[in-house]
Amino acid sequence: MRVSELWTSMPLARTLAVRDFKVRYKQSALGWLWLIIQPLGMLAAFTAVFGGVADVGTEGVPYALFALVGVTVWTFVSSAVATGVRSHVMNLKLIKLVPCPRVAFVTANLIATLPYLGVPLLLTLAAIPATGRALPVEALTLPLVTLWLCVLVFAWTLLLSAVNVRFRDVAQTIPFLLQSGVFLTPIAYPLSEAGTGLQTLLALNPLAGVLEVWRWCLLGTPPDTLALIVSAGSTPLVLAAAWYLFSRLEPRFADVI
Amino acid sequence: MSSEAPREPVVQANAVTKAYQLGELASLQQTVRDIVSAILRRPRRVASFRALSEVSFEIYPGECFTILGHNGSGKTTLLSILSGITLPTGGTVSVPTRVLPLLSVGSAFHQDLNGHENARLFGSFLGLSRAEIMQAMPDLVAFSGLDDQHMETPVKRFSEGMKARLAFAIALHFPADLYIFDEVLTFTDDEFKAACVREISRLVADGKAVIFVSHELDLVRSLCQRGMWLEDGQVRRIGEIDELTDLYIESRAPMPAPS
Repeated sequence: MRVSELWTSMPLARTLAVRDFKVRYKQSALGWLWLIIQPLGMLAAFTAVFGGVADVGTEGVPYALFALVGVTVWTFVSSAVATGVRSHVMNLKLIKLVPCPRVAFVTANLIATLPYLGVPLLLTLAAIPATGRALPVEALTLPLVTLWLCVLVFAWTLLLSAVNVRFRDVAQTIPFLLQSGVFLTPIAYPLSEAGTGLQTLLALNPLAGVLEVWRWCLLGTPPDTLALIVSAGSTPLVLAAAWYLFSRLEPRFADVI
Repeated sequence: MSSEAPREPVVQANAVTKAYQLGELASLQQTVRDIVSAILRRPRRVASFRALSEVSFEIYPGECFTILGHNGSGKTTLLSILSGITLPTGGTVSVPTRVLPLLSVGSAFHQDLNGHENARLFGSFLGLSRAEIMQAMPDLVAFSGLDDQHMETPVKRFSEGMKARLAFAIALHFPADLYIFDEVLTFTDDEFKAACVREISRLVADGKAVIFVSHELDLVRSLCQRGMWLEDGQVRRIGEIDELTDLYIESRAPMPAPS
């Protein structure tokens, strides 16, 4: 698959994203309000458990605000991966009956999930001055950090969705991985709070680094070095692997889906 | 006889072969069997089916070409390959850049979207720009015979006939160089069928290439000039339409009763 195909399939991806987003909230009484309710619900749970019960230290930042940034990133990643892994199998009929650039299904999923990042982010940006803090100067890197997160999510969903076409086990594993991920990713706690051995292990989570950088960007808390290296280094590697695998598997999608 | 000047074929198939793996592509049973085979160093057994074997043919611009064959002969597989939906396992295929396949009447639609949205979506699949799509929409809607209210209804509530109308309207109003119609006129009434036949003839007269597949041989005879008879994935015959359909009908005729 050439890079140009990714670009030329963008209009189609946009159309598909609008379609997916419209359909997502059909026949739903609260509709897009869920975009606000869901992250806030998660935030309340974290504040009660990690802030109240476990009393996790958050480097001088009020706990709820600290967790809100984590929830912002996690809501986006988990939604994108949960729907993304099934991008192609959900479009089984189209793949078998209409010639189309299949990468558009993956791109469309990413675009349709962007509101899951945007809405909690707006909440965060409103909460920061509300708690009497100011946005750090690092906040200027927000566009870059957002781009990094999108590339990471794109790479993972490209890889997982391609393999899932042939082996549906992949989609079966995702809910379990995401549930574990809530705890194994430093969403509700900073990596620095974990004991040395555990900290090294948790830093190997490719999501840990980008998450800590998001907190650095919005709250000024320093990111863990190992996590940063793992996350930043693995992103291009996963993207390359995903691209290669997708290019090899995509021509036979219609035969094995 | 057709003109004697040498023409460049717009579709060219060379020894196209397609094999499919049968049975479940992945299952616990299969995984266990594969592990046992690996341990015992036995070759992995895969049930494979040859849908197409060494199929070669050419289609020229300004021609309506048919493919005759009973169910299971490999027609749909071949059309999928020509549409760019899948690749052959062997051989080569050359088709023009813009192919518009209508391989099923309503299945390529998204059920929750309405007529307008589906038409625009299909246009996007073909790679058309927003401007090109919007330009084609008024004529498309007019041809389909579906009024505004129906075009605003989700396709899941369309009848088969309405889906066929929408599908055909889409196919005939978006630009392409090769059109593929696979059994799409079955659900339409005679009036719409006649309108489609007129439009397909117009496409052919304009120099486009059309592949028209149907079990209604009268329709095929009136529209097509040449065709191919496919049986069990192999080319049985390629030739002029009348001769081809006569042979095809003969082969399917029941044995005459002994006198």
